Amino acid sequence: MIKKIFNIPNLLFAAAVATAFAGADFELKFPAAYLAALAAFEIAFIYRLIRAKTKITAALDLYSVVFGFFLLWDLSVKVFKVLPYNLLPPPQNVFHVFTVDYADMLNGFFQSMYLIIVSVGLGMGFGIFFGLFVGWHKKAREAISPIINLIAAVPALVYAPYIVAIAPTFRSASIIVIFMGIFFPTMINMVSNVQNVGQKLIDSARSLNLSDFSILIKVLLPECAIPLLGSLRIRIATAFMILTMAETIGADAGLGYYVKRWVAWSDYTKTFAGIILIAVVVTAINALIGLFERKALIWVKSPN
Amino acid sequence: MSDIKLEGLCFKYDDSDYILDNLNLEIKEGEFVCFIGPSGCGKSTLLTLIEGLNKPTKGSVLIDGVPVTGPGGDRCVVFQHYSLFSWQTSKKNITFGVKQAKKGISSKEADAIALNYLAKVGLAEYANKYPHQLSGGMQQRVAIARALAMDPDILLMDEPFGAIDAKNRMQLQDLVLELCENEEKKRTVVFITHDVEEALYLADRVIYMEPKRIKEEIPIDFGSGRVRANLFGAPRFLQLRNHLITLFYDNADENMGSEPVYL
Repeated sequence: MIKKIFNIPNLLFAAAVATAFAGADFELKFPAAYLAALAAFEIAFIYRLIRAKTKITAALDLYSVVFGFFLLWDLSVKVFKVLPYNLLPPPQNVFHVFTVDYADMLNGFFQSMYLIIVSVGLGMGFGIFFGLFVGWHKKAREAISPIINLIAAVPALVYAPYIVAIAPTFRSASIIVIFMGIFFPTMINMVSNVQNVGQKLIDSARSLNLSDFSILIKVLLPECAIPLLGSLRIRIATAFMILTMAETIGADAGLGYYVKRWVAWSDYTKTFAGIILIAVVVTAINALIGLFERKALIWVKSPN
Repeated sequence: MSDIKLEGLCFKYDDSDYILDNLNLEIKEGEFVCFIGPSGCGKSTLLTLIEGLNKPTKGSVLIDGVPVTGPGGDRCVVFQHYSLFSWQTSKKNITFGVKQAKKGISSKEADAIALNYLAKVGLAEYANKYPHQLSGGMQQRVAIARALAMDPDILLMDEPFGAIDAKNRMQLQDLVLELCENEEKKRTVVFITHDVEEALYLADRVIYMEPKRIKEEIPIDFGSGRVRANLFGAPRFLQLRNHLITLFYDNADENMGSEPVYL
């Protein structure tokens, strides 16, 4: 029991809370949001402790790092003064931004998510659809595959500035760039999956009396496309990278734009907040995809 | 009606030598025929021709006098590997086949048929499992259940138990015999194997193939009672078994340039 209360994470938590109330020779916001974040971590930590039957080492290590990080951050600003406070703002000021700027941030979040969902959806949908037919049709495959490979070899980030420059609106530009970044790799994967489907599977489908078109839609599509959903995580990470990059060129809203705008104004407190927001959003999306994979794609693990 | 007739059947791929050369054979309705032979003798190719997955180069496969031009609802294949769809549960795999065989059947009826056949192969409680959650033997039972649920007149089996351990193989052999013989309608079965005992145990007639052609037809005459324990010690069984094994050895001799081969 004593071990569950007097352990390193709890001591670091207490130290971090104490440091949050320490004064400094510059303007400090009241640390309400920061303390709320610390408390959230502490609750998560306590929950792990209570739930864990035997081994709590992993939780102890993880939360030692978490609280240690915040403590060190706060100390390096207020006590050690590693950098001027406007270059390295204290955590309480950074977290305070969330309580002030949440409308702006939410707006940016929805703008970015809208672009990501639309373009990843289109990119994967078209990639799977064209990949299916191109992979199936030998002539089409031989004619189109080399060209697709050539285009896909160029990272979308390279021509993003050009597309932002020629597209009528920033939205359409982002959608085009992300689409290109998602469509080509998906299509290449799909073509190779279709190509590598065993003759045995096609034979058994044909022996079930399926027409060529039904085999394509009812057998090859699920057989080859479902494993691609496993790459959703990478695709969304790529999309985020492209989007935030594109947003730094010519957007008027969005998560990447938020960071870029405050960097331009040298407001690093808000910059920090924007970066934390992106980290949280991407992590949350990854967690959702992980959940989806575990629940819905159990058969992906061993596609025979 | 489901008798199969091979007439001067020849097959080769575009630029290869003949894989099958002038096969002539008649398989009667309700007969259980095993094709046996060394690997590469063309027995699996023959099955794809009967199924209609490949087209004969010369000659034809006739079913009730009608040439086979492609896969048909009267025939069903059980392959050695990889015939279940990995993204569907066992039940879904079977209903998929049933719906394919009987157009317009309601999902409810198809489900009922699927569950019925899963119960027959002893997998009632595995209806909602995916193939990768089942052992190889179980997957093969589902494949057999799917083939039978589609209610074909002719069942084609291509080394269906080739990758299954000995104990499970015996159970599955008995299952196939039981399901093919005890149903209202007697199905014609064409069964490919390279296991001599399996062929003798299952078949009404064993057909030994050497590369490209049929070497010998052996009618099996143990009488109707096929009891494994009695059969395997019976003189007639041992005689046929030795005969078939000799055929395999002769073939091996030829392939190795008449040097005796000790296996």
